[in-house]
Formats: sequence, C-alpha cells, structure tokens
Amino acid sequence: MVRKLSLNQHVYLHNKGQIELPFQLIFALVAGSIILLIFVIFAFKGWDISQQKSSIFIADTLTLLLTSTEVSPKTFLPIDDLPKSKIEFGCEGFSVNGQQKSYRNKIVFGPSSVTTTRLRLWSFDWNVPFYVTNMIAVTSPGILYVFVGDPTDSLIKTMQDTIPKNMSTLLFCPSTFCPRASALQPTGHEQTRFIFVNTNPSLPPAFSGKKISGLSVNTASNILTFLQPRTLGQTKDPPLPIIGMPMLYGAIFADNIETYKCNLDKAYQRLGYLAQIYDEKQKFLQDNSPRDRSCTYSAPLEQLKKNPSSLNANIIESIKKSNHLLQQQSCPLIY
Amino acid sequence: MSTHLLIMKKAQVKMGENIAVLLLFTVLLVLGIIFYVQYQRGALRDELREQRLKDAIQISQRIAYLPEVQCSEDAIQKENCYDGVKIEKATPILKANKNYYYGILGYSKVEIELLYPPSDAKTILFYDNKKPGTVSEEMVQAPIAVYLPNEDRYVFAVLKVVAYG
Repeated sequence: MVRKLSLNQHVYLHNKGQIELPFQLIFALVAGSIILLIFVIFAFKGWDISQQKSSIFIADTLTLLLTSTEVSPKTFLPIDDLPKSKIEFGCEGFSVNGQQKSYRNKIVFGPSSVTTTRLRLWSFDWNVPFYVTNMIAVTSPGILYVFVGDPTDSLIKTMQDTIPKNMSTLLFCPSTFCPRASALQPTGHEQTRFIFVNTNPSLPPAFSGKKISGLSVNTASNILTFLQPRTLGQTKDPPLPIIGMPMLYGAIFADNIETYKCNLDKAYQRLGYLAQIYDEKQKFLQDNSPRDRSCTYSAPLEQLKKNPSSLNANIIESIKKSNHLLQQQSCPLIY
Repeated sequence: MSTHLLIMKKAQVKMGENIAVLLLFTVLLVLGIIFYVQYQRGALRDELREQRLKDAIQISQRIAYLPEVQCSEDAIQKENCYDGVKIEKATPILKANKNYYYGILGYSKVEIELLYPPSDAKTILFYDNKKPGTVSEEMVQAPIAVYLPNEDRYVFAVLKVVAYG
C-alpha cells in the first residue's frame, strides 16, 4: 500500500535533500583534497629520501675510491657518469649535496666546491727523502687550469710532463692555443684557476667578475703564494715554501689556502712520527751494525722529529747523503 | 519472551565467536612478528660479521703499505716486506698516538708473530685499539716476511689482524 505524503512532509524531505547533497559534495571535496595532499607530501618526502640515498651512495663510493687511490701512488682515476652533484672538499672531509663524510687522515687537495658529473683523482707520493705519505689531488673537467709562464721554464715543462693530461683542462700560456694570457677569453668552464710561474700575476680583463682563483710560484725563492679569488690580487697570507713537487701540486688543486695549510699540517704530523721511527732505527743500527764495518749514522732526524715543519731542502739533502754514505759503506740503510 | 531470550543468546554466541577469531588472529600475528624479528636478528648478525671480516682484510692490506713498517731501499718501497726494526720502534709510537692511527687502522688489533727460525720466535703487539662495548671480533691471518736490516736476513712470520665490532 503506497502511503501518500502530506505537503508539509514533502517539503520537509525536499529541504533535507537540498542540504544533504551539497554537504556531501563539500565533504567529498575536502576529504579528497586532504587525501591528495597526503599523497603529494609522501611523494615529495620519497623524492627527498631518494636524493639523500643517492648522495650517501656517492659519498661512500668516493670514500672507497679515495682509499684505493691513496694506497697506490702515481695513480690516475677518472670517475664519470656521477649523478649531477654539488661536491665540496675541505680539509677534514667532503660533502655531497650536504651529506658529510670524513677523510680521517687522508691528505686530499680539492676545490672548495664543484657541481659536476665527473671527477678526476690523482695520487702522488711525498718523499723527504724517505717516503712519508701519498697525497691525493681531486678536480673536475669543469675546472680550467691556466699555467702562465715562459714555456721554456723547467718547472712549466715538469708540470706538463707530470700532471696527467686528462686530469682536467690544462692550458699553458703562451702556447698555440693561448698566444697571450691577457687576451684569454672565458671558455664556459665552471671555474678557472690561474697558476703564474715566475711571472707577475695579472687578471685577464675578460675574466673580471668570473669565478676564478690564483696561485703565484717563484722558483728562485722556492715559494708559492695564494692570490685573492676573483681579483688575483695579493693577500695578507705570507708566502709558503715549496718542499718537493707534491706540495706544488697540492697548491695547484686546492683552491684555498686554509685547506692547503691544513693538509700540510697533516703531512707534517705524519712526517714527525716517521722521523721518530727512523731516528730510533738509526740509533738501533748504530749500536747493532755489523762489526766488520764502520757504519756512520748521522742523519739529522732528531731535529725533524721535534719540529717536522722545520723541514727544508738542506735537511732532505743531509738525510740523503747519510743514506748514500751508508750504502757506500755496505751498511744497513736508514731508509 | 522466550524467543527474545533465544535471540539474545544467539547474538552473544556470535559476539563470542568474533572475539575468539580476533584473539586467535592477534596471537598468530604476534607469533609471526616474533619469528620475523628473530630471523632478522640472525641475518643482521651475519651481515655484521661479514662486514668485520671485510674490515679486517682492508686493515691488513693497509698495513702492507704503511711506511711505518714497509721495507725500503733508498726511498723505493719494497712490496711484501716488513722491516723488523721499524716494527719494534713504531709500536710505542703508535701506542702514544692512538687517536691519529685510529684514522688508519680503526678499532683493531694487529699482532705480528715471528715463527721461523725458532730462535727469533716472538709476538709483537703492533697496535691495539679496542672498541668500547665490543661485542664480537673477527680475525684474519696472513703469512709475511720480516726483514732484519741489522742482520740482513728474513724471518717467517704471521700477521694477525682482529677487527672489533
């Protein structure tokens, strides 16, 4: 039996429908927006986590590569196809897109900051004259190195022969590709580092305002000086002695003096411990050398162990001579 | 009235059934979680053990290239050769500068046991830096040749590296 509604009941139901329907629509809209927002937030979080994971992976891989490069001297290692990352090298460690990693005791000379997909690692040993440690230079093909100096200069020639060709873009001025340093034009590289060898530093006008750094090398006094970034002017920092080519390579690839000096301190610290060991060995051998030979152990290691940063060419030469003398006497060598 | 009572009892039984199912499900879930956690613990323990073994191998390879122990002849490093005098003299220096050498050798123990000839037999504790709260350790051993420069002869020895975890 169909029940007929009165007019009031009919109106009541009609009004109820009018309120209910829009309310349902609004509720669906709001609820749907909230659910969509939640999904979007999760998506962004997921992307962020994925970026962090990628950075950690790159940092771990780079640490392994630095370790393996450090163990074998005179090694050149190109790393290509990295995800594009901002990598910053300091004295105690490096960071990849903000993910920090410590070197521990490794001596690594690298740029303060570089955004790249390719890196180049090069290790070289430091001997004074006994082997102390391996040092690592890190750079990227996105950095241009301009060596300004007389092409017949022996230091320029040594650097041309020793620095791996694929290390980065190396330009020697003057040369076929660079007739005059002052006329050099920016080449689209992310950064440019100028190395002035036995010549007055001067900023090529076309590089004004660009991201540049500089180093001045004087072989007559055997010193190097870090120049002001962006202007290549003189800084308040005193010049630093060059004790061996590794120190010069380190200064070429470390674009700021703090990183360079800090790495040098690490190197001197290692030198101090080794000097102690060799000094003790020298004393032991003096007391226990073969009786049928007259062995003279007189290398100036005492001074070096107390103050490793007093190292200079004379001390190195003196240690070398002591060892050669022992070789001539057929005595056990210090190193 | 009796029909009403019957319906109520039926509902109570149904509710009881549901509660029982839920309880059983919860118990099974908890058991499953416990088994899973135990399995994961075992797997993690194995992974950590493997990592410590890798660490021990890495350290033993690093030691082979340490200038503190490696033989050299006029600055030319000799591979697979350990200088006996340098090892003896380096041991107290490494002990005095543990913080520095932690960066190279980490939490580990390095022993060099001289074996042959028997007259030279002895064990040198080259480096020992135990990790606070160590729960386990893994060891690798490798035969090495130790050179005695004052006597110009070699001694057969074993390098033992323990990585702490």
